[in-house]
Amino acid sequence: MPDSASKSATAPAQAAAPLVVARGLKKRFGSREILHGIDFTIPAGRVYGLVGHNGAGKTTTLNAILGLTPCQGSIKVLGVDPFARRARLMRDVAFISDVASLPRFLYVRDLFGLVAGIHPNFSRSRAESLLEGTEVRPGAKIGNLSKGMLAQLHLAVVMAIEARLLVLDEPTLGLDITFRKRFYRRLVEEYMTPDRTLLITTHQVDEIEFMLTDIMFMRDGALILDAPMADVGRRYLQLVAAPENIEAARALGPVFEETRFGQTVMVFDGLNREKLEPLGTVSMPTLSDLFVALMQREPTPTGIAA
Amino acid sequence: MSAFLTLLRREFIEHRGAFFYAPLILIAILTLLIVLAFVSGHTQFSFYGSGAAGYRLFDTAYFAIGFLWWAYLFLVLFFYFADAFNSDWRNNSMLFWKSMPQSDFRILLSKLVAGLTILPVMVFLAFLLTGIVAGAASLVAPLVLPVLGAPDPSGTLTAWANISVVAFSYLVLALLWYAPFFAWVGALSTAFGRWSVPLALVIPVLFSLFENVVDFQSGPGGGRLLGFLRQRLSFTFDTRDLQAAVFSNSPIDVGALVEKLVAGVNWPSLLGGIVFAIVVIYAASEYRRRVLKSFA
Repeated sequence: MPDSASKSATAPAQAAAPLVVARGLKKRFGSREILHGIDFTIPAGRVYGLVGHNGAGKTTTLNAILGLTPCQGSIKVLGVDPFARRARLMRDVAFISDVASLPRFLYVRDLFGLVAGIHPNFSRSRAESLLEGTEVRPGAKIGNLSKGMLAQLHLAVVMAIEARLLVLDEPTLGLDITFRKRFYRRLVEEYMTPDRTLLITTHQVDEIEFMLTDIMFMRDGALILDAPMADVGRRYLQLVAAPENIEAARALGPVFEETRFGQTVMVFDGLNREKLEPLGTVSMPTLSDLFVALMQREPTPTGIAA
Repeated sequence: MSAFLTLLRREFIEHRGAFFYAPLILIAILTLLIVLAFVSGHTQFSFYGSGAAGYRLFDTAYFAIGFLWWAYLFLVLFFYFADAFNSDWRNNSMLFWKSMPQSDFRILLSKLVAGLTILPVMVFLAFLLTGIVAGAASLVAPLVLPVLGAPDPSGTLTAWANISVVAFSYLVLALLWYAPFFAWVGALSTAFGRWSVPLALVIPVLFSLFENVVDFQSGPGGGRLLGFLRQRLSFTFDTRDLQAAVFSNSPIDVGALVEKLVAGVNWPSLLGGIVFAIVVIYAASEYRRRVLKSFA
């Protein structure tokens, strides 16, 4: 079981109380269990990536964090039960679940006016300034905006909220690469501060790798990896094995092996770099390579990869 | 409180088509028709009795307009409650509203309150405006029909004010009386979307049939439940009082009419209905709090 206390991250904010603490978190829909008693802790000041296949339980986990669904087990966000006190919690937590969820009947200026009226931590002037330089006009009807403009508008709304935790569930789904890059760059440059935490899920994991401090992989309702990025870089290595060393490399027990363009690529967990270097080219796997490797790995008896 | 007012404003913005633009368009059409009728001379008045003045004609017309607007309001409110309580799901904005620091109960309560206050007020303002148009027409009518006598602007204005007060009193009491019915439709809409339209009627009817089968012929005709609903769904003026007021030769006695209106209300039943409305809205909010879904 991953334990945040053992993580190597030393950001000052980590000394503060964790923002999210989940213990034995379970969720069942009818007879089907979606989350199998997961544990995790999210400290302040971090950027977490939550990655998994469709149906792995990512959105259910986020819904539990956001108080959108009741769960078994224990979960505390900013010290409170999110399902029991969602409305109070949303003063300090912002989220985008789907950029298409903005009310389409509103005009942009109406949206800002309404959010300013019902959200005590929303700054209308900041939202307006965030939209400057974009194609989104205050007089535009939200229903007439393109998907890229909707993403910019929704991002402006959440970035204008003084929140301690920002949760983004597939925020760039359906957007082209230009918008996606711009979206994430704005987040990092204009929103993140040492006392803010960002939790993000996406399938385009390579695009957010640069901004992550921690990564969580989910498979079939279980966390199979929960570690700081620095630890991931130390723990997992990728070897492009020389043809004559393939068997020797296999003997070292890779967690994953595949052939790419005629080359044999292996991923190792917890192996010394010095042991691998004589066998081929060693590098750190990209998050997407690591994800593919760990998704295909047989689970341990507890359902969590060692 | 300002957050709640903002939620009410949101309801108005979302439904301004039915409660603001549509009434304005109807008034514009009505005005156009009246003007066309006078300009083209295509007017015909059937007049009985004697001693009537122009504002007597206005009284009758304004009351009739009031009932038409009430019918419009009741119908539009029914569909408002059948629509507004699931519109966040239908237009895929549920998660956006859930990201705001407002509880589901507060949001649904704002929909109920908006449906019983600002939205009817918009239609009432349309009624007042229509009264002004009708008043203007009644002042012009004696030119076409001299038997109506000389135009009486002050009498017409007094009649407009009196009838407006009576209509407003009726509106307030009727909305409070029908609040549980609207809340019932809204609560069903939260769970079943547009199916709330038939379900609002089908569910009580099924319960009533069940009652009649189980408790055969021991209650009043149609059963206790239907009997109660029949009584609970009727809120009307005593038409004899109204006719007497409209067709008398003296100006309408607003105080007497409102007093009779208030005296005719079954207050325990009205208060019980309001409690029922709040309870079903709370139950609907718990459903909305617990169930995440999407349906068109």
